[in-house]
Amino acid sequence: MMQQWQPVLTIKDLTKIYGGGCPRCLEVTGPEFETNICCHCGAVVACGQVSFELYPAEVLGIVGESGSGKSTVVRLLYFDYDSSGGEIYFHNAAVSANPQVKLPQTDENLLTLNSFQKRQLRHACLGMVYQNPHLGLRMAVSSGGNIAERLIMAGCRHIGQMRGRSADLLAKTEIPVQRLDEPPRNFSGGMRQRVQIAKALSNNPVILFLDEVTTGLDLSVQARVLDLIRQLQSEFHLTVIVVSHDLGVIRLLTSRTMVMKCGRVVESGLTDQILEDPQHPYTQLLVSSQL
Amino acid sequence: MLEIEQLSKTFHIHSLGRKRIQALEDVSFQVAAGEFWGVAGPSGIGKSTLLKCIYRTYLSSGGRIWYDSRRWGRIDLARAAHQVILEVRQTEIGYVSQFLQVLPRVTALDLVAEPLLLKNGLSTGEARKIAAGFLERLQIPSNLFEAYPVTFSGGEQQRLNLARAVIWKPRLLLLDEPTASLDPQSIAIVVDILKQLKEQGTTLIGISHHDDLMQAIIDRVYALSQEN
Ligand SMILES: Nc1ncnc2c1ncn2[C@@H]1O[C@H](COP(=O)(O)OP(=O)(O)O)[C@@H](O)[C@H]1O
Ligand SMILES: [Mg+2]
Ligand SMILES: [Zn+2]
Repeated sequence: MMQQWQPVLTIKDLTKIYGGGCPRCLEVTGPEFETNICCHCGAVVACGQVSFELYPAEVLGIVGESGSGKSTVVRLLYFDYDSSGGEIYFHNAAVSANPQVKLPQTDENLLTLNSFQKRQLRHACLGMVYQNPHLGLRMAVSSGGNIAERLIMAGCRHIGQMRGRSADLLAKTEIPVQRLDEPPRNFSGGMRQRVQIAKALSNNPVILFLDEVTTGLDLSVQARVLDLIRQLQSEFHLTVIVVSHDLGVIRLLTSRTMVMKCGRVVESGLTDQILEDPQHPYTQLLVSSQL
Repeated sequence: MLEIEQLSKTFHIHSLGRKRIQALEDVSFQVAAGEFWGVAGPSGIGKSTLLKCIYRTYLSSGGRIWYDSRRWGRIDLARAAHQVILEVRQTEIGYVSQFLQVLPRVTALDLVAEPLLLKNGLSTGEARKIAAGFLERLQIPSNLFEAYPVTFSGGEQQRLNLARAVIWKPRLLLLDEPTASLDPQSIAIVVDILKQLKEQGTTLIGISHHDDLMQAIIDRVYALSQEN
């Protein structure tokens, strides 16, 4: 039980700068400058000095306008991009249930791992669902195949087992099993997101990242995907980071929230506090612009 | 059980040139375990603000809110870590808001059963059974159990809201006008439920009006006025 109070992840000063960068990029960007572009060298500070902790079984939201750096943060954590600086620690004790790979030490900054180790860690412990299903799925490969690929990377070698597990996951994500052999390109937007979710869950991830998963879907489809996520979370006690520009999604899914603007975290707190007593001018604007 | 010391709350509205709104100033009182405190005062004086500061939906600007937690010992609810607040909300402190926070596409019965699943670890079957009993007691017609509360009347929503907060028997319960949109008959039922909760040991703090039926079970009143 006490374990619960140890974070799964500790993130310190996570930074991503596009373009060469100069020593003053961080000084001249951020919300107080209303820009993430360095006026000296033109580099883009997609996220700067982001620090936070993620606790087991919690759903943490990242909210902010488009371009504020939300996706950059989760994609750095998923090792999609190389970071420009910062530290990420993964606390072993909390994840000892997942023993396939030799996990890095608690005091080992994950950003110093080589790319093979990063991939290994990702396949063993992380899951990601992208807004754009083309990033997460191979559109021409069968849905079962998409999931099987992921299972193979996570170390599964048994074909029968894989088919069984794929069918299971599709059932959990409410996709008719008889469509296992169809490729996602045949599917509607909502169904593609379900296949992505099934794939992301296939390795029993310790941490799941959801990046604008319902953005762009019809409202009724969006609602059903959100229901599914809520249901999966309460059933499996997943640890999740939810990225969304939509405060409604954040309210529904998360218990804590970080607000980002111009690549920086301007405020973080309990989700109801962020929504009802926002402190930062930007958060106040965001909340008061809600429909 | 709860010791509020010189609590203050100021809102800063940035879009209005950082306008300051002083909602609470120098609020102090002590609530003993098992007591039912009423918070009284004219509209706009800060009654809901006070409850929301205790629940940490609002960040206090000054002062302390000492709470004797079963699990954490004496903690300051105005400053305790997020994880501690979330845990205490999960297991010790309940809150009934003025309006129902409906979850889309969750039926009335599941909405009320949910806290029992999450907090008391009951099975779905058991939880739904207890929830159904509770809804009956609150005189929610049984044909509404499987309906979505978005379409319910204000009074029905208010009763659901109360059911959701009371059913898991929190140790401390904060009530923001729990009877505001109810008819006298429903109020009597709600008061009866709160009375029973109190007898079972729950400490309560509720916003009340001098003419309402809740007065009958309130032990002490903290009156907010312009001076504080
Ligand atoms: N590959 C890239 N090259 C240059 N700039 C980028 C790149 N990816 C993102 N950015 C910039 O980084 C900032 C943050 O982007 P992103 O993390 O996608 O924001 P969000 O997810 O909040 O919409 C934006 O200014 C964006 O234009
Ligand atoms: Mg994005
Ligand atoms: Zn620069």
